[in-house]
Amino acid sequence: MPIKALTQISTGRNGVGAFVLQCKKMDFHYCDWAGSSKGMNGFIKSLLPKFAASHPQVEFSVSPRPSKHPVIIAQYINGREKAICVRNMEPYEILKKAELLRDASGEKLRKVTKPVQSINESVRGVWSPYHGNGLRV
Amino acid sequence: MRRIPRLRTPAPAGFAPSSVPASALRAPPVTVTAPSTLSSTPRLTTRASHTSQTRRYLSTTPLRAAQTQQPQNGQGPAEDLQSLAEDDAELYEAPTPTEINTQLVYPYGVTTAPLTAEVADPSYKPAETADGLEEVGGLSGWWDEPTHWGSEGGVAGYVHSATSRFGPAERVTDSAVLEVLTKRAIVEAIVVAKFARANKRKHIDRLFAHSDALHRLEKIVRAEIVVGKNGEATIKENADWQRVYGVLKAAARYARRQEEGEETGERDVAEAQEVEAKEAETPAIEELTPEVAKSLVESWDKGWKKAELRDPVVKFFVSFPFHLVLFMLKLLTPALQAAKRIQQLTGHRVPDGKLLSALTIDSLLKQLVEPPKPKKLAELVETQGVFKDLSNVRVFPRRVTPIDKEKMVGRWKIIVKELEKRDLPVIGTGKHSGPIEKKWIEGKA
Repeated sequence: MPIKALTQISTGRNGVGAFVLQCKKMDFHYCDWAGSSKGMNGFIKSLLPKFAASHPQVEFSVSPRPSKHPVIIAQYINGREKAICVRNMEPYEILKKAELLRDASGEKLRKVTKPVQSINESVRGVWSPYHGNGLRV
Repeated sequence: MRRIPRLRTPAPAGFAPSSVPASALRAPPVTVTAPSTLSSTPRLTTRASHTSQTRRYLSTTPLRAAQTQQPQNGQGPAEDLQSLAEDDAELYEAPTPTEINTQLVYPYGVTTAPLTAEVADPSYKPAETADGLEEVGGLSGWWDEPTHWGSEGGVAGYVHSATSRFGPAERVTDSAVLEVLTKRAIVEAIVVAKFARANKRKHIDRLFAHSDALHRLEKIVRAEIVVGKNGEATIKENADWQRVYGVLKAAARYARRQEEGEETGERDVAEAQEVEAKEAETPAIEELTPEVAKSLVESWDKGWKKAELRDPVVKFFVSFPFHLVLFMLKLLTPALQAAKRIQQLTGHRVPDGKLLSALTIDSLLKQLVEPPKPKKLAELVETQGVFKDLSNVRVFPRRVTPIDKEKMVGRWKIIVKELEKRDLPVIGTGKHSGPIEKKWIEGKA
């Protein structure tokens, strides 16, 4: 039996081994009295339990906000937050909005022109005039 | 600091001061102020017709002038002196307030604490502020005390009799107690609809008005409700019909005699003895607690809930001519009677729509036992346990304020400390609101 020097404890996934959901917290605000919160109240009673159970990594907070329209506020790991007003919406429409916020990255919405985005854009690195031999003209 | 209101002292019949006897405050009888020996003179007969209070508001000058003229009328000096003394006594006596014929008890006279200089205790130190002092007296809860409404036959009795027809102020919420009282209501309604259907409505009202929820409860709920031939609710034993009707009639008869003030006759005594003898067999229920109600419900056969409460008015509405429908509307149906009696016993008013849709006793019970809808979503979520097993969900019963958010992360105490160190208001803007220039102009800052 061959001797192993080091045991392999993790399998390389070529850089895609982990996925961290960008949304970390979602606040659901409603009003007990107002008619615009009717759908939101129904959503909290009927759909939110299942939605919250399927996302244990997200923190959910449900609190009233009297005399205000219902709103979902999502907080992201980049420190930003996004809010969607869900007044007069049906419960299933609100579920779509909650899924949209869940899937968002937290960044500002901007037009994507390049197919690949990276914080290290060039493999060769950024050119510097102080390094290397320089260029003689 | 509590202030003692300035109250008038009406001195009614129920006025009962602690030190002064009530008789001293009443108006003296007319016969005393108008002796028969003096009634021959026209002046004295006129005065005798006045009450002492009327005298107080009349000018006394003509009376004195008339008295000085009396010797000229040829009366004796001794008799004249006597009448003068009586006049003076009447003039200087305390004004007698008008006697109000009421049984209400009015607040007593005002008592004042002794002055600081009059207190003998050397350790006594008068309080400078009202903080921490015991609050004594006050008239805020005066009419909450039942004894202040007079005796049983007075206003309190009337108020009680009027309100008891509409049921208790607070609804019965326990399901077992509701079930027991509903059975009582249905048994009584079936019996009354059979025996007293032809009577006038007032008579039927009297039958129900004088037997409250606990009155002979054990005797009434002992009657077994069964499903009749056509599915209608009926009472199984023949003896139960008579017994229940007898209980209702006896209560109504007893109440009527009490109102008329008659003494209980031999017949009532015999009835009471008979009732006591029968009660010895089944112990009386003195208080209907949920435990007692539960044991009662468990002792019954559950088939009684399947019986139907049919409403003949609805049943025959289509097929009968209109005048016959009107005639039938006058008849008191068991379902309507039961609903009315349920309201009296439990405080639950069954709406007409729900009453008509509830065919069986079971469906009627479900509507009664159903808890009222919670007004707040947070209460509903908590009672139903929607997020019970989810550790990542928090439900707040009220608005989460910025202060709450600071408290959650443990920063609020530090904020308060730093604000107080800088002499800044913790909540709100304090004196730092508004344009400062305006304050400069006004000389406030």
